[in-house]
Amino acid sequence: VKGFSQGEKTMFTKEHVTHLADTYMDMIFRLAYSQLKKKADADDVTQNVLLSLYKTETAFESCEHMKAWLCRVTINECRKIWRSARHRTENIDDYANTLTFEDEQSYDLFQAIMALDGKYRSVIVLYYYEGYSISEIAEILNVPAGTVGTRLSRARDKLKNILTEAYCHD
Amino acid sequence: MTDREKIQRALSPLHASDGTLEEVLKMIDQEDKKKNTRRLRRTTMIALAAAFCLMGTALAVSVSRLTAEPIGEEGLAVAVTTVDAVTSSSPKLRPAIVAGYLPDGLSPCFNEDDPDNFFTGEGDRQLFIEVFTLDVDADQVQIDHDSVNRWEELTIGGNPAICLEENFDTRTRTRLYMVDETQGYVVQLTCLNIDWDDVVAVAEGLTLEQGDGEYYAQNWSEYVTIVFGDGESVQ
Repeated sequence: VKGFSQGEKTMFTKEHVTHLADTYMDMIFRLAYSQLKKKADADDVTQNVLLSLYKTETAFESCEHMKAWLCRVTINECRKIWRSARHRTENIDDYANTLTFEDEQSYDLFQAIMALDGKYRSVIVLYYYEGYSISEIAEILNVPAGTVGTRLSRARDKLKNILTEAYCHD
Repeated sequence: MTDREKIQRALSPLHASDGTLEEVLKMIDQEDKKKNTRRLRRTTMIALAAAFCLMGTALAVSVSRLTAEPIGEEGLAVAVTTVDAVTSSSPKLRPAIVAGYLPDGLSPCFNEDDPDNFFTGEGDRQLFIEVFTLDVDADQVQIDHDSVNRWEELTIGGNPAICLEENFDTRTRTRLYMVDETQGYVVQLTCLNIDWDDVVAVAEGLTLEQGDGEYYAQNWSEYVTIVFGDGESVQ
């Protein structure tokens, strides 16, 4: 990524943000939606996080560093959304029905993930989708690694049936 | 197919809305405008610093109050009523918030690049402390709350304050508004699952000190308009 050099404060331009948004916007939205289960709130969070990226003076050492920073800022923005007057949970079916899933099992698994508690959903997304390790997730969520491990294990247990059943025909 | 592949396939339809980038670029333009205004203001501020020192006493008079007006059975409208001494809509430099008291188990959360003071604890307990500039348009806005099950007018450190507790999903959200009249700030505490007495104790222990950053505290009227001003009442 152009726009930052190792160990120096970052100064992003609009062009940098445009390029980075292209790369990270969906990741931010996915993480935000999995936390908030409300599209409008997830969009708000995505915008705020990208604006934070433009404003930050953090000395990013690598793309991985920046990605982890984006995840952390996203999680924090999600934590704060409840203070807003506008935040209300909504039935996810309406939104889920507008999405295009590859097959019915994916739809069922999506619903099963969204039915988990928020603390499990964030771990599932970060571990399985973004490929972070338990210790990396612990740093992003600012919780002990043992807690992440426990949440991951419980989330797996809760999803076990559907993960086993899904694609059993494959 | 591995579990990872199954989960990736289930979550891959999630994409940010089409207009997201355009909105971000608009926000960046607005941010840049603010930055330019700040630069101009800073130059002016140096020249006027002595004048402000002299005006300090005049500004220290009581210029505002908080009002709470019940709406229906469970609603409550909270507003800041300013009088004539607030003469500028220019934001003030954001002060450093020092919390002299924090409930047991709450600790600062990751706050990189985030000016809010944000604390979390086990049991889904959260606390935000935010400071806004008391601006000339502050009396043009009000916050309508519904589902309020308790509220009180308080005086904290000589400052008028209103604390209210509202139902939020299955949890309890407590909001405390306080006007620091002498410094010209509105302080807002927003708390989730924290006892009423602890919220008041946090407010009592707060001090605002001169910050070392260059950022300005957002105007209260702007904040209320953005966060509460979409026509929906507070849940």
